[in-house]
Amino acid sequence: MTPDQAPNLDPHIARRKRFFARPMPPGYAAEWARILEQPLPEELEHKESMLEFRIASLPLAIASRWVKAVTSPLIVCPVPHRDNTAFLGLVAYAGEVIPCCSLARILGAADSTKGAEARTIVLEQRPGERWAFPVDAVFGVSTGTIHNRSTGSGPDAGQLGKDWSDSLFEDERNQKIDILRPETLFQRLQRATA
Amino acid sequence: MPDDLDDLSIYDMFRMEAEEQVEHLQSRLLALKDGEPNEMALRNLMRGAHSLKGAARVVGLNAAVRLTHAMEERFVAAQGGHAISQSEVDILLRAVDLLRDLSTISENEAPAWAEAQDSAITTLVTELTGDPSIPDPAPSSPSTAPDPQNPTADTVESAVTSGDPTDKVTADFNLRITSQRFDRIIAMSSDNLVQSQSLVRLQEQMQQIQHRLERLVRSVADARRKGARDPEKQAAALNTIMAQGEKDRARLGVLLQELNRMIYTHELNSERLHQEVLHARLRPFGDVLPNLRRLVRDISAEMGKKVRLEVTGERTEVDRDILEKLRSPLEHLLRNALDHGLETPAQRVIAGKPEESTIRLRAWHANGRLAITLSDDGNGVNIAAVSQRAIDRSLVSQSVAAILSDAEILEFLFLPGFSTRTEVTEISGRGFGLDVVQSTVHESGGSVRIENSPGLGTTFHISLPVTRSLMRVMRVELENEIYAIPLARLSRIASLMVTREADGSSTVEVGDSRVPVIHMMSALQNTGIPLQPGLAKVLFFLNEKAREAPIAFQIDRVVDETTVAVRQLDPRLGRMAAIAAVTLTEQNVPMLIVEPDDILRLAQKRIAQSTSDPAAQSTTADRGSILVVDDSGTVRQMIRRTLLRARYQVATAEHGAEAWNLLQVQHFDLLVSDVDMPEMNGIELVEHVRGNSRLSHLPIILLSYKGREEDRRRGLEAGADAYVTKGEFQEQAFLQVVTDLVGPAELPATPEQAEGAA
Repeated sequence: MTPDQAPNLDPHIARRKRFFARPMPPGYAAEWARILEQPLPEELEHKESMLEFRIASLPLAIASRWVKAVTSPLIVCPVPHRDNTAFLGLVAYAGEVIPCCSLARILGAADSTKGAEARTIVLEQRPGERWAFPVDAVFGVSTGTIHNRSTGSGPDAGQLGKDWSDSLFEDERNQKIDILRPETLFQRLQRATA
Repeated sequence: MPDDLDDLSIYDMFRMEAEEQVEHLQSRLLALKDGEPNEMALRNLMRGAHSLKGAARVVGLNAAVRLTHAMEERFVAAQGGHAISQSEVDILLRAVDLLRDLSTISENEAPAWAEAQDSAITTLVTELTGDPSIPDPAPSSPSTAPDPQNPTADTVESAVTSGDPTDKVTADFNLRITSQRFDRIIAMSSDNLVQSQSLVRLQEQMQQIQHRLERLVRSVADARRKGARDPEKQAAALNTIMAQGEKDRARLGVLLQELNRMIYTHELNSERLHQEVLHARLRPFGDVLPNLRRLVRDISAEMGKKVRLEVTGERTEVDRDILEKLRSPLEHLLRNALDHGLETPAQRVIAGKPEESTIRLRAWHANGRLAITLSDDGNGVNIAAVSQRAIDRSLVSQSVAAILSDAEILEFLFLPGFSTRTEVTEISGRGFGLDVVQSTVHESGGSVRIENSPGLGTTFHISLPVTRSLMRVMRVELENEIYAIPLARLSRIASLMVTREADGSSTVEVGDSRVPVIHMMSALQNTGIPLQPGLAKVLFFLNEKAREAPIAFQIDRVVDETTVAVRQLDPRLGRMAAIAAVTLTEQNVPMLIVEPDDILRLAQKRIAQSTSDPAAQSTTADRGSILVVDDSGTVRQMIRRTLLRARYQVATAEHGAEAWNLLQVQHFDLLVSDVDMPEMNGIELVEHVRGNSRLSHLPIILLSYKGREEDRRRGLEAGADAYVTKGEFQEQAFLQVVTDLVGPAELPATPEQAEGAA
């Protein structure tokens, strides 16, 4: 819109121009530079949405953004020559064939049972690259506080090594659960599959 | 008028190819600029320039031929050690910019473009080669190729693009279908959607009846309870219930009829939709012919040879994806035939042949596959020259070359950069044509072989799937799992009497002879499943290698015969032994499709293991024999000792080329290879192995310090079965991978192994 189209705005534009055109007060730029140079306070804890689930007796959490679906147990098609590792076989989800691994075996936990609460979790590392793994139960998605162990803000306790989990999730019921590091998780899933 | 009008003119096809190749050249050149040039990048650049040159020749754009040839020369020089400087990269990028015009100018504008760019091209050629007089050999001649209708206004284009632009050319493809066909597909999909909604309404009506029936059941119980007090009321209530029940039964009958009608219509519509989509992918083989005819005409004229191209099977239908991929291999084969195979008229007269040479191109469907033969009546391949060239290039020692069969020597022709020509022309002689032919055919799920008749000519046999989308299969049950067997490769299924032989093996009687039988799951899993003597269901595969003895496979049950939609295996899985692809069942469960060649090989191995026949065991005398390739002596010894301790037999090589030589002459059960090596790197070694018909099934583990996901992916996509990172090397995990691939070593410890263990 030009001043011709809206003549009433013209004085405001002129004022704004004058405002921005005036010289900066002494020390103004230096003060800003000083403020910007200061390191940001390290975030000790923050809130995030997590999917909570259980493998054997091990409660675990993973950031919901990686989770594509939680389904009833998917039928696994075993693959010859690949039955001796954590790779279980192939499953179909939403018309796609996805590799399915035993996270229980990868973690060294007891193997998943086929209880009534058993589910299959489908993760998506990046568009089109999905992984599935069976779990013994899914507690649901909840938003809670993330305690980073490395900053000392959270409890030391945790059933997994630091490689697998460097933070704990405190859910709405104040339960503290190991959060799986996605880097480690996807790396191990890849290794199990290939 | 045919309704599938995507027969672009030759020039349109050239423009599309130019657009694609220019983009690839640019991205690869830019990659050169950013990083260290490597052999693979240079080979890809050379191929890109070479392909574009070939395409430009077909449309008679000699100015572009001159420029691309100069580019190709520079890439070849770079492969020979004359590194491309940054300023030269800039020159090459300028050349690419100039060639980019080719994808936008029309056929009519092409001569003006060539004239306008002549001095610029001369400058670029001089800058690249130091010689402005790079010949422009292709005589300019008017196109005599048929000019198919140009339906571009009537086409709908969808492009699927994925991945790194420097990835394989096959990553991108365009699928063109006519707007009429597209409209029909939309209409049929809409019909399916409407029918699905009708099914929902039907379901609601049936649910209403279900609720009413539940109420009736409750009413019957109620009437029975009250009936003791008032029999008359009970009778009246039961009559009402019966009347309502009868009404619901009748209504249910109508709804079931409706459901049957809808299922029938739905099936019909789905079938039509399916056929429509399928046919959108199929094209006549004749689509590739205009280019080929032009190529034969121009090159034969240029070389002073008289050549007739005879074609049969022009109407043979082929998946357009496969047809597209066929263009380049067929052009390469024709160039080779014209340049290497066919003699000049004078030479032919001396040899007692007619002056005019004949190249025969035939396409037909055989056993559900597309079969193509391209034969010429020229000189044939000079086996001695090929053998000598292989020796000169240190690909094989003189003593080994002496014992190789003609067929094995001919396989050298498929090696990258292999040519018996000492001179490179713009037509052929660079030696990577057959390599491209083989890799392209393999990528499409096919195979290629040479038949040589010295003095009489050469025939190339190419076998390809007709379509990669659908497959007729026989579903069979094996150990409670359902597998799909490609029907095209199935010879027969029969109930035959299984007999236990004295040596412990099992056989069935076929004609006058006894044929070894094995449970198919034994071959798939490499485990022994004992067969019970008696009547059993067995199947036989068509064996393309007739010299190999037939094998019967026992199965538990034939489920049915059906058509399945083929899905490629996820590359993250690596290569899976004996599994070709995967599909989904009606219950939405993955079902594996068996690879017949692989399973025959595994069965032969398994039978040889189980029999006490020393002759049969000879093939497995070195079972558990592993070749370890690494340029680091330390790593080589570490892996060797790890494997020796696990009682495997180990041989070592320092680089890919040495490993390749060893693989030619010695049997191994597993290849463990480093990735970054001189001479021939691990990826190239894997590609060589996978491209070799004898070794293509050899399990391979790549071992590298590069642990990034893209490195792992590159290794697996090349064809490795597993990718192990050295940085995270764990002996037990590594041995587990080895065991998964070749099974445990069953040989007694040798003194060397005992030493290794120590």
